[in-house]
Amino acid sequence: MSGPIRILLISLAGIFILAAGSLFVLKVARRRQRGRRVRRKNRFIDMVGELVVQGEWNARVFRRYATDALFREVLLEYLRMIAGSDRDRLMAVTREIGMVSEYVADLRSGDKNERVTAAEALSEIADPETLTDLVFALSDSVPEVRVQAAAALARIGDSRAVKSLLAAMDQQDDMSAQRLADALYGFGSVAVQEAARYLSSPGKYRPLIARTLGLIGDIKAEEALIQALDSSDQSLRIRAAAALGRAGTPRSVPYLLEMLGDDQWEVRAQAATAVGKRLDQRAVPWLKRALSDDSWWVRHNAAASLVEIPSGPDALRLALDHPDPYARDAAAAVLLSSGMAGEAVGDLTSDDPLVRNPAMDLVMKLVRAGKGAFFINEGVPPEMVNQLHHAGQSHLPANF
Amino acid sequence: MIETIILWINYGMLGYVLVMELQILLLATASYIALRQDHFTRRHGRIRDLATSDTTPPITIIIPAYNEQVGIVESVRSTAMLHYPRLEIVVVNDGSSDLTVQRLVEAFDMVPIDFPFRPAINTKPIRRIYRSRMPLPLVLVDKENGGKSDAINAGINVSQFPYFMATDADMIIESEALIHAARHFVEDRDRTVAVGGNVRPLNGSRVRSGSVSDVDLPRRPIEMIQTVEYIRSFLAARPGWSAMGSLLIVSGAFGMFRKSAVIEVGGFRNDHLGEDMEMTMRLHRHYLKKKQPYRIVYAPDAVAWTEVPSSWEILRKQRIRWHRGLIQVIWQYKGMIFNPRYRQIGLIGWPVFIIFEFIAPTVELLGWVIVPGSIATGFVQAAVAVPLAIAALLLGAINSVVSLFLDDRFGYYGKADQTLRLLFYSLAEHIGLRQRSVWWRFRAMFWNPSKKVWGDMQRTGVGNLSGSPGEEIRTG
Amino acid sequence: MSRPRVLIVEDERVVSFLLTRTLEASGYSVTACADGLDALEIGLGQDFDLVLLDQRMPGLLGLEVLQRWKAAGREFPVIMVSGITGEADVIRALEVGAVDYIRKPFSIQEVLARVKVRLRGVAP
Repeated sequence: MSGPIRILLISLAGIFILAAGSLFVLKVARRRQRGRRVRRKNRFIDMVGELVVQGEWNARVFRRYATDALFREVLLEYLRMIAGSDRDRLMAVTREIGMVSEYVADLRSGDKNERVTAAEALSEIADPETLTDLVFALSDSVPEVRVQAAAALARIGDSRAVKSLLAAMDQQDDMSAQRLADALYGFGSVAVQEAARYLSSPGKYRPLIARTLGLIGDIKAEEALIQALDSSDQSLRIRAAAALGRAGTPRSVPYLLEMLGDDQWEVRAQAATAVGKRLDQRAVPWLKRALSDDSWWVRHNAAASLVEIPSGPDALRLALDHPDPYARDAAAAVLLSSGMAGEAVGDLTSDDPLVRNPAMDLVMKLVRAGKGAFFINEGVPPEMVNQLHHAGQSHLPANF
Repeated sequence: MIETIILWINYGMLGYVLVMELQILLLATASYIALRQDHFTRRHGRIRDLATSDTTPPITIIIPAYNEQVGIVESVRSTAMLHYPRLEIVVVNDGSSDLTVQRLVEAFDMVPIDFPFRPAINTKPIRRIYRSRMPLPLVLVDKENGGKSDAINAGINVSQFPYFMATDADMIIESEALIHAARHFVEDRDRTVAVGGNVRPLNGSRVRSGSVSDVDLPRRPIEMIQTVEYIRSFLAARPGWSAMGSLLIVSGAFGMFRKSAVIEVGGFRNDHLGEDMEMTMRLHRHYLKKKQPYRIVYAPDAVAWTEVPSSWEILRKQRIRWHRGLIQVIWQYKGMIFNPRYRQIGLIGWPVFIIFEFIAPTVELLGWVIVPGSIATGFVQAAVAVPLAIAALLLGAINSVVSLFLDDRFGYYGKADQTLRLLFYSLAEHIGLRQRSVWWRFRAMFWNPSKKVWGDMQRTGVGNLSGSPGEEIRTG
Repeated sequence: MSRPRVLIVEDERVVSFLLTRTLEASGYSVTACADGLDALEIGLGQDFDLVLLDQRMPGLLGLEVLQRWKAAGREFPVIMVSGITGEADVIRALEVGAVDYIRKPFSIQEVLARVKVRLRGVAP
């Protein structure tokens, strides 16, 4: 064996043995560490648990552990799980042993990991006294710090923070922006006014805020959302139309109806759903027209909205004779899923021809529209069964 | 003259194997860097936030099932338990001849419903659609037999959410896995089109009511070797490829996709043995051709467990099928090789993949024949060739150990004896399975990829040739 | 009259500790378990005056445990405990037959009050 080859071989073997050896040592050490960690953690859980349940705690012991990462983790876990006066007491202890002030100091640390850890912890603690520090953290260079600070502010629920949060919105990346919007939702109604103002700014994340306003569902946002319907930004129109479903009043109905003629199918679909929530008679003719829309979603949403509106179901029943097969299909599908067809099926067994005949008529139409997959109660007169069977044989279940 | 040529052929082959192992080592380094960066993003609160946020995208889980009466109920149950804010489960019965449908209908109180949907991809006819009356977002699609891809396509048609995950009925998905995978869609919603998960061998672990309760190593050598192999593939190679934008396979067993992207490229193809790799390549080609920015990424923390073959015969069939699938894909996408239009894929990812996945078996097999032959006939000195061959194998073993380091972040297999066994098999893998696999893959090549009907077209997935009850091999 | 028996099914140690200690301190006899399958078995074998049932656990989902108990004719009142927000889950739990629903984070005093309401008529 020549020299260089021998060296190569020996060094490779050496590397293998070295790598294997260190992996072994690492794994075994980790495992031991993990076991110790679990035992310690359980001890801490019991310790802090006693404090929460009994109100008893040993100040000396707690202070000693205050800098212990695992102990802190347990404290935060408790803070996450409980609410009310017990939580307040626990938070007071957290403050007293110096944990809160230490985290606040860490928010200004040069190490980004430390800042993230601190922000996470402060968001869990949600101490009102840390408000200004958290607002400061909203402009941190690390997205995670900003998001956690926002979450903390939402948990504290002080409305003064809303403005800072929205001001920080445009500096975010997409993911942080979504989470900031989640935080904003956490504020509830107190955030509405400022958020509505953001909608009329040229802000980058207006669609997200429109959606948040919809989730909050406060009608104070209606005006801003109506104006957003005029935007040239398609996704803003979609979100605004959807949001008006929850945050709208009858005032928004004409605007939403106009959106049923939008170029974008998603806008039309959202408008069709939103308008149904207002239960407004004016919508019926518009929604009937939307039953012939090009998009399945628009047709379906329009039909689903019609079910909700008084006199809408009649329009749907009439639509079963619509010349457009797509409109017939949407109407039939929704009549079925809303349970109205089920009622009619039940009525087939009625002795009263005034009940039975219209029911039969409806069921026949549904079967012809290809919607025959439901079960007919026993006791339906045999000639009717035959008739139905004949009308839509291929669609009917075997036990029909 | 002839002597010199033979000598260089020998060196060439040994050199090739050395380069191949070095390439893996390089990839492992890239993977290490990628995993470290990933570690920072995943550590902080995000996962918990995503699990409760309603901005986390809703996902449809599509489970194609063919003759799965034994395990399907458990499988659906464990899928329903996954930690995720908004899920829909669509089981697609692909014309089973057993009681798959009845079992589901009984267990989950399912009734046939009228379910309007927009077929975006053509599939075999759907017979009936069921929905559970229990508080479960479960839909069952009963369709005529058309193969796994066809079943997934039908699931896509019926699914209502913008993202879907295709999986197998015998996969056990970890409860946080979906969040780890979906995270990428949240982080980069505009560009991410597919996310692949980390598939690990289940053999040896304890399963309790549909979730892995106790992770352990398998007993049999054949399973151990595959464990080491999977760890290397999913931890040393894929994170690196993913970071370079060249992830070429999103596993069929754990692949999350943006639905509109898959529809845009026409859905899964039925005429491919490796439909998962084919889909991944098609997505790459589609977006690179359109010059549209996109991401196909690998999520190491999105873990799912699957039973791997425990007999040599089944393993052989599986590997032959995989290699044939690879050949089909290479044939289909040969135009991308060294094509600058396809950027990092055309110039690096795809050629490297072909050189070391497709050509490797041939070179290695020839090596095992020619090198000893040359030594016997005196053309090459044993004193040079044998150490070089051992060096190549050692390098391979080092690669396996490196990937074990990368795997350590999961904290599995922490006991001393487990570690020792893993180390033993990272050496043993290179003496035994490696040679057999080379032979299988070499044999797999003698077959015409342009033929439309395959005598050995086997059902991938469920039961995954692992010999579990209910498994069936069909002819296409 | 013997002490009322309460079963606590909860996999998070922190929550389990809190509930167990609080109820024990109020004079209830508490059995705790951390796994859905164990819970199912315990519930099939023994009688309880009240069950506090977590929704998300290893083994079986809380709702599933509840469904199976109902199917087997076990009729003890069940209060669901869960971190999942949203009306839908509350409605589901009540549909399946839970008598009440507690969301995390919870106030210990409130939990205690709800438990007492359910156990009115059963000493202490």
